[in-house]
Amino acid sequence: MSVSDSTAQLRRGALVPIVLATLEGRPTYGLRVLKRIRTADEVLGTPEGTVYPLLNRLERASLISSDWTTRDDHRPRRYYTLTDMGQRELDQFREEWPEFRRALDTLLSPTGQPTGDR
Amino acid sequence: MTNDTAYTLASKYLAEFDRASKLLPLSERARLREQIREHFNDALAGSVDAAKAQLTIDELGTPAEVVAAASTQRPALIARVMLLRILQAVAIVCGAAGLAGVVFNIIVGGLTAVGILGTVLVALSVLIVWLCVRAIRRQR
Repeated sequence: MSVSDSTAQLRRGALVPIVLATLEGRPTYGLRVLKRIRTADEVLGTPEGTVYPLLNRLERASLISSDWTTRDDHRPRRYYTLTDMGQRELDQFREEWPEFRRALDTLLSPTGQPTGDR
Repeated sequence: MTNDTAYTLASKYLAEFDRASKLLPLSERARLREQIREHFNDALAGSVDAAKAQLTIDELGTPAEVVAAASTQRPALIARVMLLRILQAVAIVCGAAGLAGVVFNIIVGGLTAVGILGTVLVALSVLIVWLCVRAIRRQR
């Protein structure tokens, strides 16, 4: 599915909290992160080439950590874990997001009126 | 065909990534390569048809897209790597020219201006190589 440039840019910007949310509660490996993003919403699609560089950037920023672990009797994989700092970042984004979305809905509405939660 | 095709596609992708990622810092390049290999190992395990193998590769984005995403996130380091590459080229040229000057001086005999210049150039190239090696070690 092709998307407009604006949507593509918005998608890239939203990728940080999306990746943090996919790691919430359970350490996850790279392929599963990608699959969760892809299956969550068709509009988000596959973020071309950005997921692994982004995981590395989030790790450098201490929002996630990673280590080689063997789970469920599978071979060792690099698992990514949300850190406390990453959890705080995600929680803050969740607090801010409804207001941001309402403001965006209002600005994008042809009438300039709030469109309500959807 | 299936696994052979998947293996061929994955190998081709990694080879393209190696070519495209030369300017990335070594640590970033090695980490991304490891992640891509891991991605293929997970996605292409077992019997995989060509369509699924291609989808796995499409999910990653092209090697150029992966490198572009990594470069966007670390512009200062990329600039540093480019500077190191330029310095390495300068060191090679200086070293070669300096050695030629020293050899010329030996053939001619005595101490000539060319010989002195050659010695200075060789010393300069050694200094540049030392600085580059130090910078690369710190980068790792």
